[in-house]
Amino acid sequence: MTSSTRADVRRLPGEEGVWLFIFGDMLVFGLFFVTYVYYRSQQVALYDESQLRLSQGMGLMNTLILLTSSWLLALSLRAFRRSSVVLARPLLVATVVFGCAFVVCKGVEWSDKITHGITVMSNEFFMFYFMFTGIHLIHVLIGLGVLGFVLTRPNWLQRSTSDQAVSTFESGAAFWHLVDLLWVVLFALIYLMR
Amino acid sequence: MEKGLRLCIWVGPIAFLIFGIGLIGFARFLPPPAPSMSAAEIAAIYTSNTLGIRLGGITIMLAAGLFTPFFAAISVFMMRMEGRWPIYAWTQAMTATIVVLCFFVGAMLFAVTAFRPDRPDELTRLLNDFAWLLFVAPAPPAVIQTFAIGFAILNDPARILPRWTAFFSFWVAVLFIPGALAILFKSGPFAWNGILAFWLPAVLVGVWSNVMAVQMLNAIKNGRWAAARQVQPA
Repeated sequence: MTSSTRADVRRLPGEEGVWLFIFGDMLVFGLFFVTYVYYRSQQVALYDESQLRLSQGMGLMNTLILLTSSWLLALSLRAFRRSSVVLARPLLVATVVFGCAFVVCKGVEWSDKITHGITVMSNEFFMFYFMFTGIHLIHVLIGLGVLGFVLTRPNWLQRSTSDQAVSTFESGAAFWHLVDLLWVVLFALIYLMR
Repeated sequence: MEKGLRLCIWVGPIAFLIFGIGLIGFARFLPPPAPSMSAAEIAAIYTSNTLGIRLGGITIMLAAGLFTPFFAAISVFMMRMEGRWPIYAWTQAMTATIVVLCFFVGAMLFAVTAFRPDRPDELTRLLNDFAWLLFVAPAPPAVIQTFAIGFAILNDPARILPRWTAFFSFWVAVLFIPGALAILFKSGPFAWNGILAFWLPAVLVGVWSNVMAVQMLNAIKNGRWAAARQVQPA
């Protein structure tokens, strides 16, 4: 980032309010995670045993999908800041496609669990598994809505990038990265922690 | 001119205070009776504090009634933000009605349960279940309500309320979601007495309402409310 782009100016990307939401949400997921670790510590054996029935491969795939989408989004935003709308647009579309792939992947994983008789009622571990991944999935859907909103702004057609448009894009991107970050921690905690 | 509006805004925090007096002071429902309790244990709560729960029910019904002018004030703010087509303001008003109604009927059920605590224990537990689930589970209308408020604030060209209050509302809306699933659990963090289904939303509703009240009163005081009349969108 040495070239003279708008991004070089030191400031908070997006608008301040979005960051209020992001830190608030991180706080709450932090609380989720502490709750999970606390309940887990009460019956570690049950959690460890139940965890074996999760598909780490699916979890890893979810993680890779989201990380890729975040990377594509970062590339798209960089292009957008340089007013290269022609490049930014397909990259943002690809981000959304990967986001949708995550939703499909989660759906496949869940339905696999349910066909094996594992539901949110099965035990405490699966309660956390379904509830946390479910609340995260809601975040993904909201994130897709936000990216869709960014994608349908009129500036894409006008091939121009105003400061306002960049700020809107940055706000949406910040939220998407949050969704990604929360998933990585969720993955580590629920799928991997022994 | 804005006297009535100011009054209705002030009623919000006061309603919360009255709600707290009813729930904590009279009914002594903090912490809530656990959904995992046996019928006999639940019945014992109602026989040992019969008068308190009856008075608590009445007090919470009063509080529920007082929430309506507060939500009306929010909708009036939103109408000015939106101009000619105040669709979010209507959404807010209608979802607020559902939310208030659930609290009202929930409190009514507390009173009904305490009306004849000498009935068979199982029936008392049934009524108690219904009352608590009415308090915690109607999250969907509350989520839509808070999202509608946020959307109205973000789309307001005059910026009557600061934009961060919109994102604050979205945040609160997301946190209401776990409550909707309280029906699935009898213990743990997502049960109706759990940290994620009860304590977190309960605290946040209180904080959020007071923040909104302060911001609306500020907007009247610093003239943004009055100024917004001229910049309405077509």
